[in-house]
Amino acid sequence: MGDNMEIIKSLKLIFKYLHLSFKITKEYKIELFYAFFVSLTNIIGFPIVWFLLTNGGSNHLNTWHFHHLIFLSIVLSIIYSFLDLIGLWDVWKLVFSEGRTVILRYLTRPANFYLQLFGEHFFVGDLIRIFLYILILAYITINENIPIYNILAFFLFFLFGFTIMVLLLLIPVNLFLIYDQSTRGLPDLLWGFLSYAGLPIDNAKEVVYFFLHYIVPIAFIAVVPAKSFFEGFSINNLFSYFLVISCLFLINKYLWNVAVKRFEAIGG
Amino acid sequence: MFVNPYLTAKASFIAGFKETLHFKAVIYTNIFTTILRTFILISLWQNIFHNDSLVSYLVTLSFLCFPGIMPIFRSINEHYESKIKEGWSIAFSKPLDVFLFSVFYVFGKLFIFHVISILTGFFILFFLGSKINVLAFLFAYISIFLFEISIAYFLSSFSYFFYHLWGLRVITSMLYMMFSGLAFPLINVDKNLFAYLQFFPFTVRGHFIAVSLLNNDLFLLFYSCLILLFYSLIIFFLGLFIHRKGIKKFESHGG
Repeated sequence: MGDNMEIIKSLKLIFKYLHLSFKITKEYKIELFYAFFVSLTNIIGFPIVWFLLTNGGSNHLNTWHFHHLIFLSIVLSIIYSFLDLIGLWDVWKLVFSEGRTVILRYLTRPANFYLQLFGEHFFVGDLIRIFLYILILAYITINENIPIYNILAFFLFFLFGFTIMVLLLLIPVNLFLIYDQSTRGLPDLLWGFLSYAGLPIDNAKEVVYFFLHYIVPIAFIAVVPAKSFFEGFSINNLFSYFLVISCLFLINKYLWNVAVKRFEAIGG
Repeated sequence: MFVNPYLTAKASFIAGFKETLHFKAVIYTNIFTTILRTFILISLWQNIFHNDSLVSYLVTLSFLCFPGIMPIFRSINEHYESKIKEGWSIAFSKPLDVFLFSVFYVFGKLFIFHVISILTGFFILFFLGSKINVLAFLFAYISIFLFEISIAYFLSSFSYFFYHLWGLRVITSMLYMMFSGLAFPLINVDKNLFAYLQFFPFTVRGHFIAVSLLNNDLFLLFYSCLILLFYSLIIFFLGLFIHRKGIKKFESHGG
């Protein structure tokens, strides 16, 4: 009963933050134009790039054909839009500007720390981006006659891929809560890797392939879901997802515990 | 009475430079990221295109044409935007040029990183057997720097009209990454298709300058830099025009 009440309270808080974001977006309409033009740049830019690299769409990059590559770019764009929607994109600015004091502000309130941290940065304007990208995905799905089985596999792996992205981005946030300003270079490092998530990285040489799958698992964010859309479900992938998500979750849990303990030990 | 622009530039540069020295982790992570990033890109594209010249091409772009993964204009614009959010009235009442301060403060912050990054690039290319003309490189670097400042100036001119500039910055950065050759090597693109991109400023700023430096093609380098300077002037005057419009709007509203 108590747990259910907590969930209802959290949901109410999420809706309040979403409502607040909606009001802000209504006030600053330029944000909607930004969201629209950012998605337009992706929708026009990526096909041009892949068109050039596959020599007018006639060639393929190993196992990746022109429409596979467009699909991959759009999947990553959707993941980025969702990240911005849930406030994870802007969280760096808050953490950098306020340092570890951010922990005091949210930890002393009777709601989940992360929910408050991200909730204040929700941006509903991203729904425009997501809508436009979904239209492109729907077009590819209809045009390529993709079986429903593949679509379901894609949805499942897409959710897992998004979870991995969130957990990866939480690592520097938690490290920042422990080590403060000395870790401010970490987001750049992580974004340096994440920028490959939209490239056909399964074609890299063995060492890099292993590195991008199991050390910094960015291949599972968009590449594996996009492949499953065209090639179908794979039990090996499912197992890998469980393994990677569990490891990342445990790392984050450990870092959060250290951050809270350190914060309490020195009295804030 | 305005502070002498030279003193503003000098003091801002030193302030930025000292801040980077204070946070050494930023330098290490940037260099480490650039090396790892270049290594991964080489591994990926080399496996796909089987082109030996790709290694030198990507090293030139990563270390010489793009010192660091963050374009200069983006850093200047981010810094400028944070100053503007304090309020235009505060910015105007300060006895120095806020944009000049942002440019040199950011340049000071990036200076060490650029020097290390450029030296690393020269070092790697030397071992790969490609020698780059230092004077030609300096000429290209100045052109690139002026081009980036003009973009930052242009983007910042919209701060009188919009509270946030992130969208403009993101769109510009995306075009930058897509068409410069840094993430997607344009060296393999069919020449007939490529003809449409040859006057695109980001392609000139990345791909053409990298190719001309690698081939020691001084004519192509001079031509590319001339195109960049031409774009810089147009973008700068466009920015100046919008800035003037913005200041008029600001004054007519009483701040």
